[in-house]
Amino acid sequence: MTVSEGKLVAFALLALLTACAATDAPPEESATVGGGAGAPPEELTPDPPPASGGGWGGGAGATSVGGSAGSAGTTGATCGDGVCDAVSESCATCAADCACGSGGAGGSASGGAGGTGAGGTGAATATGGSAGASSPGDLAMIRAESGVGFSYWWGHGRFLVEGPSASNKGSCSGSCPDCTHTGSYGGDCSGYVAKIWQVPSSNSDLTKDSHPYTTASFNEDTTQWSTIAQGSMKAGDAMVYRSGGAGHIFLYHHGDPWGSMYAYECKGCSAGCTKGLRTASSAYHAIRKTGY
Amino acid sequence: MKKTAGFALVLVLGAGLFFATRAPSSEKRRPGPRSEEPEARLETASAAVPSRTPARARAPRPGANANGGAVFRAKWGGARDELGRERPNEGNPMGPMSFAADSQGRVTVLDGVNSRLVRRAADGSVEGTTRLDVGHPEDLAVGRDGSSAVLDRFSDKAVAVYDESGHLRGKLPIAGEGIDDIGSVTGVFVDGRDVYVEREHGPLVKIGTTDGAPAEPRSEIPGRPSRDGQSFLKAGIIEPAAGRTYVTSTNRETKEHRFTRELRTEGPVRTLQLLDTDLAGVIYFAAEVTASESSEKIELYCLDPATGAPVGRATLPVNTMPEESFRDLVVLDQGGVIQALRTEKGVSYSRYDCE
Repeated sequence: MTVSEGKLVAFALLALLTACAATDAPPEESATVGGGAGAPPEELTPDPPPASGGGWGGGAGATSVGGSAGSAGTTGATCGDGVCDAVSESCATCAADCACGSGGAGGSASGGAGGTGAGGTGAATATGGSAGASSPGDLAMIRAESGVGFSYWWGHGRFLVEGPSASNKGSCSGSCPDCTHTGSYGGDCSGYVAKIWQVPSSNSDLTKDSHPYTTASFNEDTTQWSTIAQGSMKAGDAMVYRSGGAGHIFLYHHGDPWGSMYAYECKGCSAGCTKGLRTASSAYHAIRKTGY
Repeated sequence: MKKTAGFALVLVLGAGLFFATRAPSSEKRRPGPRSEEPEARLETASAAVPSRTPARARAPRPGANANGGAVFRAKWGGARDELGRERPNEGNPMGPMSFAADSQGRVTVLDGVNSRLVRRAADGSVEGTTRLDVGHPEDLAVGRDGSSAVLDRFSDKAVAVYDESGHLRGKLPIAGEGIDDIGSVTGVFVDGRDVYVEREHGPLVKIGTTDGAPAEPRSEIPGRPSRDGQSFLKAGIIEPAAGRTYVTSTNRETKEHRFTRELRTEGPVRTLQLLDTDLAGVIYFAAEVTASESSEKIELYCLDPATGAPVGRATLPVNTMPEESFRDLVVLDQGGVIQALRTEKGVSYSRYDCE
């Protein structure tokens, strides 16, 4: 066999190998749908399942209370190990790992989509982390906790530092403003926020009934509060809407993995003043008290 | 030389012929919406999950509405064919906060303002109403036996269970093992005879059964059960601004992690809106996305149950009214979703399919 004959055979073998490689290549991931902005969806490596991370309040964890930075691709199911495993832990069941404080649950989550590849993003990019426990927003959240469980009282704002008891929480019935309230404590949405925000500054006594502002007031920026981007919300901020003579306002605490918000609010007659996860449409906008 | 060249030529042509005849089988390995053949890769990836026809490959069903076609509409009000809305001055605005569809295609709406459930037949006509016994109903799930479970976190702090004829079977306390903070509950679910509440869009805690009996003990499952009985599902936002989200599937029988699929939306993610399956196990996942500074949309994805690979999608409008809601999107057993869309005039329930 001459040199050129050898080259010819080598070419044939190369063609054979190339054909083999082409047909045995792993199948492509389907990238035609779901890959927004041209980015194909990727399948992440299995195990472990992801922890909660991100969301509006997911915590830019570095500065959040107990919110450890998301560790890429690691999860732990042991309470107290510093890692919030969303499968078996939450701020309700393991506050040590899954911070309930400002900047909260998301911030302490271990790495977003978990496993490898997409992990670790919860801390780096999610919003809502806040300063330490003594920040004005955090102190406002402590005051807000005092109001949870009191009745809705239209046009009022009066609470107790120690929170409600069965005998003093009050009750509300009917459809407000044509509703009936019994008791001496409670508040409506704006009365509650004004009391927790201590606006005006003279409104600092939780136990003194007052209702200085309505949602019409909170809906407009002033020197005491102003509109912020929803994506930058942190504990102690509020969301307000006002339209056609109606309005509502609630205090934001932190987010969950779906972008729902833990809110403190005096919702209405049937629910009273509550703390819980909720959604809010784009009819609402975010506001922050000056100095928070 | 001629002999060797001829040999090489035969070798090349032979190889080409051999691989040309193998080509169809290699196509089978390619994941994607091919309805005519099961996917070999899908089967090897998870033998426990049978291959299914991906959503995108489905033929249109007879009588199915085009995307966005209204199943029914209701004006605001308290009449039999209306639904309640309340916009207090200084309080949380409320409308119908949730709804559910059953295996017969009937839709039951949680009309909380009017303290009732309203059941609509598959043709959209009002079939009946059930008076509710809870003070602040927020979410609804229906069981295969026709029972309804109504969540009330803040007034009765319980899930009320009704039989198909609307009789109260019992109230299941929400607080207890697994649920320390009632406000952390993000939904009620019925799986078989079991009634669950979801904690922070994560694990589900069994609180009782559809006969109205509280669970003892209260066990947990790691995510939402798929309707084909194969999986538990969970989802979350990884990075809102970058539109990064994920869906995770766990094998229900073995409890082994099946996949975690990252999905990137076409803009920043505001909230997740839907995670459920149809009866075949196809996963429906939806996120509210900021399309531009002043516009939003909902991106709906249909995902392969075995791999999480997208097999179809649709774009839906966003609810922009201030009324709080628990569930605006519901998956139908046979596939497709219904969306509740509120306007100043009323609310429409419209059908969408992945394409």
